[in-house]
Formats: sequence, C-alpha cells, structure tokens
Amino acid sequence: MKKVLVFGLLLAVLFSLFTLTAFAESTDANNDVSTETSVDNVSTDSDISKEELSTNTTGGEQSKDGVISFEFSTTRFPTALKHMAIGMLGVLIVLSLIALVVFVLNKLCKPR
Amino acid sequence: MEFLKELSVLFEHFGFFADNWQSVIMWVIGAVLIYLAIKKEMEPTLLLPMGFGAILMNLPAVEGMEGVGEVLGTLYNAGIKNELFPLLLFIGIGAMIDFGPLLSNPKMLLFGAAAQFGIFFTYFVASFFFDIPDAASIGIIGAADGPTAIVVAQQLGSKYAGPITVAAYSYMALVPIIQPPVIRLITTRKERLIRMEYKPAAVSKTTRILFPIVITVIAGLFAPASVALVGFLMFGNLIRECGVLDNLSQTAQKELANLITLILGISIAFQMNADKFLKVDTLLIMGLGLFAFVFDTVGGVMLAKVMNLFSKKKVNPMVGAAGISAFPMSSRVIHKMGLKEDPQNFLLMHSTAANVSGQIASVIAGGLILGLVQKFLGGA
Repeated sequence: MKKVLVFGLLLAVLFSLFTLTAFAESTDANNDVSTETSVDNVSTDSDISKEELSTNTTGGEQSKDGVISFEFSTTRFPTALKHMAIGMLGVLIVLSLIALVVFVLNKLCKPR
Repeated sequence: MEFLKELSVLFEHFGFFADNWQSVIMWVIGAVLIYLAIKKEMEPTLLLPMGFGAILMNLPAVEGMEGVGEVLGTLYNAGIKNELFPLLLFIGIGAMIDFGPLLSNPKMLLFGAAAQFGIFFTYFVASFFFDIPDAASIGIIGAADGPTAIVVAQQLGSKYAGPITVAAYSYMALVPIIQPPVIRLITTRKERLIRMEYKPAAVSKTTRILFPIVITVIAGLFAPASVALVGFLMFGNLIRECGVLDNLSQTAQKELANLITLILGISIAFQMNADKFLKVDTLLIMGLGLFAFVFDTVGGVMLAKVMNLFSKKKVNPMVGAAGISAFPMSSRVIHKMGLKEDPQNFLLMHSTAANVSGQIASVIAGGLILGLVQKFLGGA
C-alpha cells in the first residue's frame, strides 16, 4: 500500500510538472499568435474564422508552437480495430502452434 | 576590473536557466529515475544511466564545440537508430533464459499470448489521439520489453521513440507496483488461493536444442518482421542449450549483456532533451503505457479464469498475469503474491514458465504489429 502511495505521489508530482510546462508554453505560444494576429490586421472576418478553424480541431488544440500535437480523431479507429483483432488472433495462433510443436517434440524426443 | 571580467566567464552559463527552466525539470526527472534505481533498486541497470543521461543532456552546451549531446547522438545513431544495440542485447537475454519450465508445460505459452492483450488494446485506444505508426509504437510499450519497444518505434519511424523507450523501461521496473493491485481487483481470494502442483515433465536435450530453431522458423513464416528480434533471442538461447559453447554463453550472459545495457541506457538519454521530452504528448504516452501494462495483466488473468471454466485442474489466475514479458520481475511478483496468500503455495515455476512465454509472445506481437502497420503504410 505504501509503495502504491509513493508511486501515486511521484506520478502526481510528474503530472504537475508537465502540466505547468504545457500551460506555460501554451501561454507563450498564444501570446505569440495573438501578437501576430494584431500585427497582421488586414484580414477580413472570413479569414479570421478560417484561422480559428485551423487552430481548433475536433476536441484538440494546436498551438502555433505545436505544444500539443495530438488530435482526437475517430478516422483511424477502424484500421486500429482491425489490427487489434488480427494482431491478437495472430499471437494466439502462433503461440498455440508453438505449444503444439513443443508437445510433439516432447513426445518424439523423450529423454533417455 | 580586468580580473573581474575574466572571473565573470565562470558564471556566463548561469543565464542558461532563465531561458531553459524546462531543463531543470528534466534534472528532476533524471533525479527521480536515479532515486528509483538506487534507493528502490528498480531496474538499476537501465534507470540509473537513463536518469544520469537526462541530466547530462540538459546542461548548457557550448556552440561550435562537441558537447555531450554530440557524443550521445553518435552512440544513439550507432546503436539505437539502427536497432543494433537492442538486437545484440537480445543475444544476451536469450542466453540467460531457461525455457525448461515452459517446455515441460507448453500450455503456459497461451498465457504469454493472452498477456499481450494490452499492446493491441492500447494501440486501438492510442489511435484516437495519434496516427497509426505512433499509436502502434505506443501500444508496444505493453510488450514490457525494452529492445522490442526500441526496434518497433524505430522501424515505424515514430517521433515519440524517446518517451516510448523511457516508458517501457520505467514501467518494467514498476511491475511490482502495477501488477498486484490490478490482480487483487480482478480476482477473488478463493482464486488466489488455488494451489498448483509442479510435476515437471522431463525435457530432452534434443528438444531444448530444437526449440530455438523451430521458434525462429515459425516466427519467420507468420511474422517475418519479427525475425531479427526472435532470431537473435533464439540464437542466444541456442548457444546456451547446445552444450558446446559454454564460454560464448557465459560471455553473452555477462559481458555482452552488461556492456550493451550500459551503453543502451545512456544512449537512450539522447532523446531526453527538454525540447523533445517535455510535451503534453509525453504525458499522454506515459498514461497509455501504464494502461498497456494494466491490460496486459488483465488479459493474462482473464485467460486463466476462462481456462478454469473448462479445465478440471485449476490454474491460479495470478499465473496468467506473469505472461507479461517483464522477465524475471513478474514471475517473482506473482510467486510472492502467492506465498502471501498461502505460505504453502509455490507458484514460482509456473509463473516462470508463463513469464518466459511472454518473452516469446511479446516479440511475436511486435513483429505482427510491424508487419500490419508497414503493410498499411505501404498500401496507403
């Protein structure tokens, strides 16, 4: 129990450090973006909304410096699901075959 | 005044901290890894070099001069980027493994297979956040095998190779903390008290010699991408079992394994530069890595429970959890858990059989993932 608590505490410390870093970097990045937007103040309303779309993807954020570079997407899940099924089945088949071969080897090559 | 100007040269790099406070965070992470290695004795052969390397990589570099980054980069390119070090290490690991308990009870191979569930499930979950090669590389953390994680991440060209490697080795070291609560959560006390008799069938020397050769051929036919990993692992095992290469076997187990581990640990630190490492992606990867280990444990235990529905001779479900590839840590954890529940219940040989089968299964799983993703990328 003590080990689990120590581990949990270490995780919490690491998590806080990462979050602080990410927050600080995204604040810096957003300041840069807003500075650029105000400097390039020749854009029309439609251009501004296009920029908003490109920086806010489905469920994720992408700052100019790429602090967060993953984005939530469901487009990849059919491929991953297929790979998961084939992979798991493949491992089970191969290991079962190896088990069968070992069983046969044990029968054929009995120790003297 | 001139003297003070010259003296100030000693302190010219202190300004480094104003712009690079993230490096200090990497020092803390390095210190945590060193603490875990020395004080808690968790995989010290890897966590200590990685921890120290993390500190080295985040110290000021002088422009125009060859710094520690250049040296570590040379080692990284020489042995990790081209997968040489992990493959050489596998020779040593193969020479260390005694497949006897597995050969006398081959159905333990199924637990090794089931305990790779975490790899594929994590790949699936990671695909919601990362592209396919990165998601697959993250899933392979669940292989609980550093060399396999390095090889897969490098071959798929994942940009997260550094955090993936750190996660794989760190969680391997944390198996004694991760597995027990998960096992207690998904098993009952009655199940944990199941006693397993150990009556090993005798295994002939011919079987021990043919086994690594047969495994390599089967892996080559079904998962060609795993041939390098399986081949080197089984080569190491063959030089152990053949009986005529004792010197080579001892060298592989000791000098080769120690030398490669030493260089591997510190070379991995090349990826632990604050710029590359301190991202929210890394946090998500660490979280997914933990997820993979948890579901590896769940997969192994669940198969044991399913087998108990059909089998007269009951299997202690905790043995299924030993199918994870963290060898020999996981087998010892399960054995200790068994003794804690019942001081007369000796599960070590059963858990060792499951554990070594996990070593084979993780490599096969790595090869299958490589094959599937490379085919997908080739066809895309």
